[in-house]
Amino acid sequence: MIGFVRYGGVSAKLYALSGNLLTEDDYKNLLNQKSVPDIVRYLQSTKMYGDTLGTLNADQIHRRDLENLLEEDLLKDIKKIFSFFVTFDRNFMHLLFYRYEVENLKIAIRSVLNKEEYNINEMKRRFFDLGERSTIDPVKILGAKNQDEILDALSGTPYQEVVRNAFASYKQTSPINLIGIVENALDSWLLAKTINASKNLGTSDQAIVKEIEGERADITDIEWLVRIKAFYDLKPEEAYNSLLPFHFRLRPDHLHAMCDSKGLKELVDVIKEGPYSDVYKELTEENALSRITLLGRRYLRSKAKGSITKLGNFSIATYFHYVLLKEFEIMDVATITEGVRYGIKPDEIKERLVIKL
Amino acid sequence: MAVSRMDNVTFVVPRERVEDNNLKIIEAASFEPHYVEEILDNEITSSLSKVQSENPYRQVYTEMMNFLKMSEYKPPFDEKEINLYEPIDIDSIEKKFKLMNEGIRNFFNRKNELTKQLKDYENVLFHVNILANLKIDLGDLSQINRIKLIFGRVPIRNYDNLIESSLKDPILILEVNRDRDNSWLFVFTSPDFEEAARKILQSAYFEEDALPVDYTGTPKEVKSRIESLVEITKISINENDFAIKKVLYSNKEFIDKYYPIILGHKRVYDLHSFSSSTGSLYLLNGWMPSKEAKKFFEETEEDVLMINESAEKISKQKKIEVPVKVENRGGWLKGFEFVTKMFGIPSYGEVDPTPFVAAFFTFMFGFMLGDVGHGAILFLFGYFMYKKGSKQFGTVMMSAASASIFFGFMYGSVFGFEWLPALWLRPIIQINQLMIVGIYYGIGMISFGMILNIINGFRQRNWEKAFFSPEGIAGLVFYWPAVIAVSFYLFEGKVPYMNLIIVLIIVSLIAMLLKKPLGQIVSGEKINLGEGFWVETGFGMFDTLISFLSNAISYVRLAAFALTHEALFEAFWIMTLMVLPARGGDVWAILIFLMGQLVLVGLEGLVVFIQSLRLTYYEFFTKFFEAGGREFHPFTFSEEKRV
Repeated sequence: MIGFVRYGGVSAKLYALSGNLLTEDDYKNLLNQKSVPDIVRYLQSTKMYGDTLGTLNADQIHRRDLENLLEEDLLKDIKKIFSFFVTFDRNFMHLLFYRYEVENLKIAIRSVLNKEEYNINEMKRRFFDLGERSTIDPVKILGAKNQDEILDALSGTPYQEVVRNAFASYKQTSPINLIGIVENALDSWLLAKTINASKNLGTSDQAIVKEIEGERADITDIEWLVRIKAFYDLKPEEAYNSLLPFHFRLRPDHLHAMCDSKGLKELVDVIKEGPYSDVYKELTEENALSRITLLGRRYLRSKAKGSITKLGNFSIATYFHYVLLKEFEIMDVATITEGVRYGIKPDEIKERLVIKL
Repeated sequence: MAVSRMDNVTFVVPRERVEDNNLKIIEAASFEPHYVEEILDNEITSSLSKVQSENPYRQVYTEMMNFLKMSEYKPPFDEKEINLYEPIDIDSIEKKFKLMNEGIRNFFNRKNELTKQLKDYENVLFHVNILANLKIDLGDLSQINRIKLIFGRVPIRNYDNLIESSLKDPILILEVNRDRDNSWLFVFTSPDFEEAARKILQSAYFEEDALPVDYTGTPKEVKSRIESLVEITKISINENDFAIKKVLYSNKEFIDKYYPIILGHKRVYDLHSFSSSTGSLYLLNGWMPSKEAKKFFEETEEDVLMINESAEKISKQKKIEVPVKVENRGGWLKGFEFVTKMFGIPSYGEVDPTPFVAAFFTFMFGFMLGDVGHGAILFLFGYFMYKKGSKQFGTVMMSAASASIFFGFMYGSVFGFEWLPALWLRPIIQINQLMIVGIYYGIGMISFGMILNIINGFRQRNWEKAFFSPEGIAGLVFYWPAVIAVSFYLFEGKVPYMNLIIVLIIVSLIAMLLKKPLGQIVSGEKINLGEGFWVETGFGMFDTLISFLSNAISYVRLAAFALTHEALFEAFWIMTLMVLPARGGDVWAILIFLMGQLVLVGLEGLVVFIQSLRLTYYEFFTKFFEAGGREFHPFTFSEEKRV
């Protein structure tokens, strides 16, 4: 009953929005397009993206711009949905936005630490526009010339302490290697805060958040460990410390087993004996690096699709359901666009999509 | 209305006129710059180049700001008193600032060093406090040979992983303290394992802190020693500070004279950075209220070209948001802008609800808290706040309090006592009449909101909104007959023109049900129902009908709070009387009476303020106010936060 009162309006809105998600036919049509402008034109005719892409000149849109535009569309949806979250806990609501602010921060810091040359207008397009909800100005961070200036630009925000701690604990590391350290710290912080803030949502919503965020953390960490075993020479303890601070199905003993494994082959065996064995059934040492991301995303997508029936219509699950499905949709459209751009055959592109056609 | 009409203005200026023109623009303080690339067509903008920051005042500005930073002085700046037309010798001013900077640089640096040292001492004190419970001599800790002790902290989120990861290693991790962000640790390990241990700690984002082990003695002894050092350092810092101040004050006249001039010139060039050039001509685009734009147009020099376009046209063509300037004449209305803006800024083209808010809010507040004496106290409070600087809040409060005084006469209530005859009615006695007046007032206010929505709909040419929505004409055609029908039924027992009323209600219901397709027909679009149309509409109608009823009933609270005010007073009065006969009763009686008055003014005042806001925001604004606007920020001499 409380769920109905709290989520009645927003669920209705989310259902309406979900109706606009791309259908299988849409995907098949996209796969058969011959060029990027054709893809843009097709998307302009869809209900989902018609508004955002409608007025633009299809021939002038670059592949990367398209992805940015689609993500801005998602952000627009989220803002719309938020006007329905009237009685909701504000702390938690803000955190759902901060995901995008953290992405902005990562892009800016990456650029500064890489000391790359950039075109300011192009960079501005890559940043999500959070309007009045933003607590940082990513363009200002972009202008920083060293670590101290990055910290200055972050003053007054909680990000400053997170980034300062990352810099301070890895004092001897070169700026380029610091990028992954800082990104890891930010992701960790965001997850911890989200789980913490979910306590104010009431038991059933809190459980849903823990399951959804927890599974996402599980999948992310499995993928991360595969990369560690393939590319880095980390001790088991170091690998363990680089994991996210919250999990759902992965218990310490299994995490230890994964971290302790010596090399990719052993890791794959351990994964196939763990709680996600079904997800990674087809994983082998040879295909691990190329398939790990896709398999994880496919699992998360199917969970998102089924989350409403499983977790309840009138709950925060409806929010995650829509947002996650749209995120995967954008990923797939980007994959298709890249494939079409480089002339890859539709059947081959299909293999790399999250959605199973 | 009270949202100023905006123009989008483009200046085409030859190079020699740029400074002059920019100066005029900044002085007018009614221009918000915008990047001209987004306004003009692509063919034109492709041949434009952005202005490089060519600012002849940059050097002298930097020197001046350096000095001001080091001396921590902010000179007075009065926009109206700047004279930027007088030529100045940039070089000599720059030289003088350079000289002054050299004079104070040493003191400044020394001051910084000492401040850093002060921070270090305070840092040690901080750690010493963490270890305060240890009764061991800190000097002894450094003597430990066979075990290596590392002291530091990890973010709390990494603590669990760290403990878990190092279970099988020769590391002992002890948490000695935990604050909001960090977990403070003693880490014990063997000297052989130290390097490996540090790598493990590093992967958990561990930051080492220096244990104050150069200090002998227990933490308590170290603490008092450091505290004296802190005092000495503070005195040295002050000495350096005085030296800097001496230089400052002997040059104060010079600084005060040239600061506004240099800053003003710099702002002229800040504005210039928004321009684009074709080579010999400079284009500057921005938003200006139509009135000011017209005046400016008449005063521009001949060789400067000023092109005005209506803001609506540009905003529609280029899909850009027009900034909104809310303009209300008179102190009373200006005060209530604060109430409107708390909800949001009106979108461009919307009616500015501020005048109506002023009237309705004042009325409702007085209705709910009607007492001559309490109103007078609140008026004084509002006046006090006004004088103290919260002009807008003060105005709102004084306005509301005046209504309270008025209703005090209506209810015949002075400080709760019925000393005056009631010019209208006594709330406690004529409850029904009070409630009825409240509800009908509410119906009126809601209807007014719908009328504003219809006006907005016509202005925006949104026919669905104006005609067919529940807050539009269809809504009114449903609402008023329904109200009339119910009123007549309740008071007279029978309803006249029953058939007409039924027809109107049914027609309007159908219109509201089909508002989307009807709106599309009227605006000539294709009929597109969209998925889930019937479900959405069905639930929507259910929601609408219920909210018509609930919104009107919501206004019963006006009567309810008027009642509680009286009732609360009665309660305190009874308590006052009850206490009188007791020993020392006079004192208790006065105390209780005063407390009661405090509650009646303070607590009730707060509650009634909030209720008035709520009725304004939720029952009134939601009928018409989209509030999606962005506020207009004119470019002025003062540095603003630029996004």
